[in-house]
Amino acid sequence: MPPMPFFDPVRFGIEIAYTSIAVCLFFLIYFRTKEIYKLTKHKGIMFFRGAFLFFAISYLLRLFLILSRVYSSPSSIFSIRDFFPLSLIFVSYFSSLGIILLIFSITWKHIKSKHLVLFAHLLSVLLTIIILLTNSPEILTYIQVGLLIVATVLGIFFNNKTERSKKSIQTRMLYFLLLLSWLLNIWMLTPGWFFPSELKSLFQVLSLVVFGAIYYKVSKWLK
Amino acid sequence: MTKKRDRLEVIFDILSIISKNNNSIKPTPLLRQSNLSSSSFGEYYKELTNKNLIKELQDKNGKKYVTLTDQGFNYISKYKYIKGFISEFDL
Repeated sequence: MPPMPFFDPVRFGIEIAYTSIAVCLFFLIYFRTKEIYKLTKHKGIMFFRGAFLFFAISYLLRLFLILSRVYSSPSSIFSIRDFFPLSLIFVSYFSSLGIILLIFSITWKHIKSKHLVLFAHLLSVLLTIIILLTNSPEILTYIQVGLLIVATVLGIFFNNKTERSKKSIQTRMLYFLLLLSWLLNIWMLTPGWFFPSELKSLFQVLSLVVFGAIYYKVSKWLK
Repeated sequence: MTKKRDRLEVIFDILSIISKNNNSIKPTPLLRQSNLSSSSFGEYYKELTNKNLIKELQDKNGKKYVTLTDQGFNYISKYKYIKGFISEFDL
């Protein structure tokens, strides 16, 4: 288990505000796209919605992960710190699933398989088993860096294969920044890495701009 | 050569044909106007019925008519946005 870091109430307050805004934006994307999915049953929309639902859950669980790292009561037998490994497992599972579904949302047309959802769950379980065995947020970061590289390569490969509009290139850039934001958020939790609070706050503001831009692009088409 | 229609476009075309015929058309003219093979048309027809976008009615003489449901009208009105959304996010 990582060493217990210093509990800063202001930083924790910022984390709560940041998580609340991010989760609200992701849930808004998920719920506002419900109608067009219901009308079309389009697979790409299904993967897209799933990705944002699981990102919302991951950000919520990440907050619990922070709480379980920094909060403990020495007088109590039962400590919230004991939940760190469990929180890490759930964060690992839901965030991996979110990343994989986002990759599938742009590649499903080129992959001739009817079992992509099952495959996404199996791959997430496999990655989570690795986290379960190592109990390390660092390993989670490395695994998800791998997923980010896969997402980038597939994004570039399928972008060259077909003619794409300028808009869709912008969208892929936003996806890249979305995944990068998540990775930095997890990386900041790993022991041994110290980030000044101001730098964390600046990064969080920038990532909220990315989430807001994605939500704006979604809401433009949902009249 | 005209571009092959995608699935959403075919659905939109079928629903538009019904709408333009005062929301009531027999299956055979619908098949003819939709420019699909009878097997493809059969698949789409089943899909649209299952998705509750169209429904089949019978008049007192036992003749079948196809009409749009509220969902079907909703699909037509939202089609432009659905296509825009899919294209924007490369889905």
